[in-house]
Amino acid sequence: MSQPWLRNRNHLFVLCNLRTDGRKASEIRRMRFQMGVVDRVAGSALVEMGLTAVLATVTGPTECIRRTDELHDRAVLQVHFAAAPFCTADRRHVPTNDRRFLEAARLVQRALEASIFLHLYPRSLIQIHITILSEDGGRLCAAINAASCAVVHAGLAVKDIVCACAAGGVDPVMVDLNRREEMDNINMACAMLPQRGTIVLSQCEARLPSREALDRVLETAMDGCRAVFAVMEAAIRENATLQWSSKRGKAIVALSETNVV
Amino acid sequence: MSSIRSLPHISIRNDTRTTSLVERSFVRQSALATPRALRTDGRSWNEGRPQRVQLLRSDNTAHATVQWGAGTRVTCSCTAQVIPPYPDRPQEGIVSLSVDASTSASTAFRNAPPVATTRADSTPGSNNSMIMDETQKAWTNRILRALERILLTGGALDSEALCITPDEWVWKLELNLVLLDAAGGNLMDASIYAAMAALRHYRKPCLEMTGGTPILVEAHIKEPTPLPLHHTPLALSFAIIAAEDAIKGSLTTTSFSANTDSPSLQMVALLDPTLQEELVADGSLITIAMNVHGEICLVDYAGGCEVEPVMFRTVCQTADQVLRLNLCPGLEQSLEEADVQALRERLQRLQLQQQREAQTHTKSTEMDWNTTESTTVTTATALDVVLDAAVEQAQVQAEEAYKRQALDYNKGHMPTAVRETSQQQVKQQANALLQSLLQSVTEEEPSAVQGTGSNEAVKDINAITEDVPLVHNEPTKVVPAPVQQANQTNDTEDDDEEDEPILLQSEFDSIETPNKDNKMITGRSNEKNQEDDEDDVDDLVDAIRKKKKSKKAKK
Repeated sequence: MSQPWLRNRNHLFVLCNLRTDGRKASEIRRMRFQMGVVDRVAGSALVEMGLTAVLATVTGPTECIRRTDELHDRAVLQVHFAAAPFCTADRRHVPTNDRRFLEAARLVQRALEASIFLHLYPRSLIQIHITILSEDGGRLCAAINAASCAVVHAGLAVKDIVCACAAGGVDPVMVDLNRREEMDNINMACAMLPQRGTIVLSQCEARLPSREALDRVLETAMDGCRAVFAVMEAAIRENATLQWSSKRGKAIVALSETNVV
Repeated sequence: MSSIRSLPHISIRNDTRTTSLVERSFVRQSALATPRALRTDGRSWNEGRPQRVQLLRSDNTAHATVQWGAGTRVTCSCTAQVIPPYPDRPQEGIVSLSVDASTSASTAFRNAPPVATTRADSTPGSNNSMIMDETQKAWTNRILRALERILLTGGALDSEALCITPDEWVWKLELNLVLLDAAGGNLMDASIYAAMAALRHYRKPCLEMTGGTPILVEAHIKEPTPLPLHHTPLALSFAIIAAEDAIKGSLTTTSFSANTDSPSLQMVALLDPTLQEELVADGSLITIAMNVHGEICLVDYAGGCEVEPVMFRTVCQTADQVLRLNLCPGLEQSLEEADVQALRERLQRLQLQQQREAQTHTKSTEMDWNTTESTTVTTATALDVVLDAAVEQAQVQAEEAYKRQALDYNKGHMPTAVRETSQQQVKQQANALLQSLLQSVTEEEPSAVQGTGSNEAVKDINAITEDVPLVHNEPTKVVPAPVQQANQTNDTEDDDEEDEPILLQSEFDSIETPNKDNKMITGRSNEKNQEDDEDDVDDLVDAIRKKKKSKKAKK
């Protein structure tokens, strides 16, 4: 930049102990949950966490495509993970069997399996398609949140709503890292069932200096999950009210922007 | 809705990887037993299995084969080459990992290309042609991703340190894992162990820049250097088995429970699960990778079952203890031993080079038929050189012994044994071992004259080698034995006069007729040709018996 006094805006943030996007260490990003965005599928949700946008659709429970794949006592949960070519700054076509996507799909599947009552839908198939529309850090967490919302929108029976959030950094421990913060720091993604207080997913690969650091990061991630849950719950209730009232034929309640933090 | 054809082939249930309901309930209920968890192999919940690693090093490769418990085997090979860097990362080296589930590992694995971290985009046809089981793909991918995260994202291997000349030449490190045997479960830990062992054991060759192009220098000219690994993280996995709980609702989503007795959450985490435990566990494994300093390098819990934070902490703590006390020191020890061994071999190699140079001066004076086959070591790798050295030494020794035996005119006009091939040598050695065992069992009468161990073994060789001679030898053994013993004591005074009886009787304890055939053998009795003896057994036996009875000197 030509004006030297604008070059390092971070100075201001550092002085006030803020992060590069102006958040405090314990603040999550601005979140927006939209449900029912895609037609003709059982459930869908579009989740925006800051600048990360993820779309999830749920199809099912349907019959398995091949009879041999079905399980006699429970449903088969299949997750398909993809990223749009325009999701990152440089347009790039990523093939669908990229190993990172395979891993992410598997993670989302296992996380949701902990919550959906699969045994209520024997011999059937539940498919979740996740598409990353825009990426700015925290894509796994956003994907899990979106899938969870879509599942609720589809009306599947769940134990609790799975919420995910990432935490990282050693000192101070930050919540909900964006892309720049992810690159340098420890980044632990964590998903939990907030009302039951149990962890369903936890992934971290950078070097945590000690077990106490692990505990701290995990605690922070869980707090982040609870914060995400607060927003998600409000959005779900609002959507449910809308659906219910439209079914009953009553006047549609004006949508206020209550689901934006 | 996307077309069916575009969806990947799913085949989630594979009959060899599913367990029966009985098995499932047995393993789960015994794991959840209240005073302590009962596991099918008798371990406690926080007890791991022993591992063994076999390390090999060659000029530009290192191999590590890990045997984890009784049923799991993984091998990893590490090699490197110098190539230009990727254009978007000009200052970083390249690490390419691949995990190959060999079809010999489990009947559940199908023949599929290894899962790898290659940059090259796949050709348009390859997506459809290879059918890989979803489970298999997920498994191998999980291992690959865990490795990638530990090494690259976690920073164990500094890719910038692998750069030689920025923008021009970088090291490309190739780490290839092959899952050899999956019957013991817990492939994840074994794979990470193998990968770290191979990385630590590998030595990068030195480079010589000639005109801008780097050339790898061979190991015997310049000592290669180890890789820039910051630390060695090793992983441990836990399988989570959770009980159904009535009050808080079912912990697992796959079964209903009407049990209202147990009031509290019950969950057990089994360290280092076997295949059975892995299959019946809820959710996936919790994998925790740590290094010796207590830093946690990887936490991987993919979900599937709810885990209370307390349990999570206990798991981390256990992993910490077990890793630091057992796993890391074990690996270090194996690596040190392998290093010592490699050093020894290097010294041997150098010695051999000197010997060979000395030998080329003296070889011209020996008779032609005595010289060994020319051992030309042209561009052999270090391992080949060592092997050649060992073979050469054995051959040299064999030659000497044969010479001694053939040129020893004291033995008279007995034909010398035909020089035997190495196969027969091996067979004889095997037989020798067998028979020395039998010998120690069946040997009864102590003899006045001491016999060497090898001769005893040879005695047994004759006793047991082939079926026909065996049957034949047995009666002959029994009958002349007392006769020979009497002869033996009598002949001891004659030892000084007669050469052959000396040799024969001095080197065998209780002489049996088949041993008469051994009079052709001196020092290295292993080289005797058994087949010739068996053909001559009858004649010689008779001849010898006659001779013995007449107490005449044999020629």
